[in-house]
Amino acid sequence: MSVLPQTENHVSSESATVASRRQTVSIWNRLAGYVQNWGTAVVIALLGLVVWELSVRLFDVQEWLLPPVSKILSELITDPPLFISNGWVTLREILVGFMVSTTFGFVMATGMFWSRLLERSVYPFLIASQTVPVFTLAPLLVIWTGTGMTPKVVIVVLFTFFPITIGLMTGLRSVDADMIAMFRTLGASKWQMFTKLHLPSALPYLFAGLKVAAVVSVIGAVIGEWIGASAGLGWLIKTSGSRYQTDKVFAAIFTLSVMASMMFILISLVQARMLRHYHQSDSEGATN
Amino acid sequence: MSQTSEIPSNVHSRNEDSFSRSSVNANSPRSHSRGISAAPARSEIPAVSVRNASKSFPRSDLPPVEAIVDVSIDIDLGEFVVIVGPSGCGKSTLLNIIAGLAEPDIGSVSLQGDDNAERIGRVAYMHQIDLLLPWRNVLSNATLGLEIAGIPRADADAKATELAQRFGIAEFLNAYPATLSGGMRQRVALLRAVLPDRNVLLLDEPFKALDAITRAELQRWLSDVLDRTNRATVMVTHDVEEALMLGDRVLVMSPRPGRILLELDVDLPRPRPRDVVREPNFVELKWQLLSALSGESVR
Repeated sequence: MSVLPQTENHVSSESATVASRRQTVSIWNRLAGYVQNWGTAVVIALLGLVVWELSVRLFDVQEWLLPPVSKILSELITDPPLFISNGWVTLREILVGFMVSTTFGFVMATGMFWSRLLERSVYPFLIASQTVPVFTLAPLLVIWTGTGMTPKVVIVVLFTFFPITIGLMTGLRSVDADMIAMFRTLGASKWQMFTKLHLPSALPYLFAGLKVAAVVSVIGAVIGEWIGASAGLGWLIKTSGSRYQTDKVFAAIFTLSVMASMMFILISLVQARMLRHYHQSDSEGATN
Repeated sequence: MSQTSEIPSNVHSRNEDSFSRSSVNANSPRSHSRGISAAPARSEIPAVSVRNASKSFPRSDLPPVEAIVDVSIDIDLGEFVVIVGPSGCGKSTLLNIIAGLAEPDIGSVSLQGDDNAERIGRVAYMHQIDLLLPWRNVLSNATLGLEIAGIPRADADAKATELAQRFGIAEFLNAYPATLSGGMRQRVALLRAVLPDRNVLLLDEPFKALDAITRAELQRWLSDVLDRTNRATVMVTHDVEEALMLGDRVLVMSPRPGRILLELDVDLPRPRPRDVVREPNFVELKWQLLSALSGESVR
């Protein structure tokens, strides 16, 4: 409006500066944050490896008891195909299980969001499924489904569907009542509210669940391979262990943990990308 | 004009026990003559008409909280009505009832004379907090209502972009809420509320969360930016000066249970500059409002 040109311009330019300054600050904060979060851990890990290497050599520990770090590394370097091929077997079990879990979690969480009846009838059993020690199911699964890929995938699913389902369900339910009222006054249908409000609000919770699932999925795959398998990192650990090839065991464990970390990091990156505008949404104007 | 004559009886009738329903009933007869609609010269059908509305909320082990008791208001198209009252006097309950988010226990609400009108989705409502979606930029936050109404994206964007100019947020259309100041966020929230072209606009303490300077600026901005011709606006506030700066009519509500104590026509010419607060007329009106408010709160 022509009445207020001066104040408008003043206010606008000021806010623009604030906005751009905030952006710069946040980039630096992020970099500093990464160094602060991970730098320390990396230094400690390296120090630990050095102490390991030195003490094994210093106290002359038997190699089959605890191999030095250098021996483990040379194991990895001399026969990479062994770890890559077995790693790929395990990774496939993990990825397939993960995808099944995510699909299952979506269907379950969405279903329970829409239907209280479904929630009342299914939710107790979802929790009950987590009270059963999955390890004890493994022999049964081998009897039922053989020693192929299926029992491993099933165990991965048993480990991972829970955090994904609960995360998404919690997220769908945790929408602010005022937000719902606002959508209602705009005339939103329940479906519109679900797609435009509940689902986007649930994403942070979903990612929290996916991260937990990524880490435990590795455990699930290894347990599956422990009971009966002819390939995979879990199988490699088991067979090498029974032959006292401790260096191979450690190398396989190292490969497993790198795989789990990579999955965690990958999900974190996707999360950071998808949720990049979610941060500090309540920092101002919504203090009440 | 104002129904000041009613104040004394109401002021003195206030019972010590504000939750006692019987005492309230005894002192506020549900006759239609008491209602604000008794004011003359409103021949047309009002945009919003609240008739003898009461609402209480149940509590466990305690008598229910009476939020509002026997409230009647008519608001015409083109009118800007401000409701002033202490915190917790049921103002928000009243707005929720008008918006269709809640139904009164007793009484009725009509839109354009239609008692059975579905109100939800037909009344624009701006809350105390901006309630912007952090994952949407300013433009798609503003067009949310149009999107829900099924208006094509291009049309919605064009409409929002045009109004954004007047709202002073044109250059932020691609920004995300997290990067905006509180005042800017409130502007976006108002744009979102008014874009779907409803006849009734409710503002629930829209500037409450803002600092004093931003607040004064936005009050002025609001009276300039709002095209009042085809809209009935109801704003709730506890700021008496804000009420007089913006309102055509000011209603004073009592502490809980909320009742209308006083109705005041604001005969100040528009636009109202900042120094209107020094005019004798303004001072007089402000005094009337304050004494109505304090008469209730002194026990």
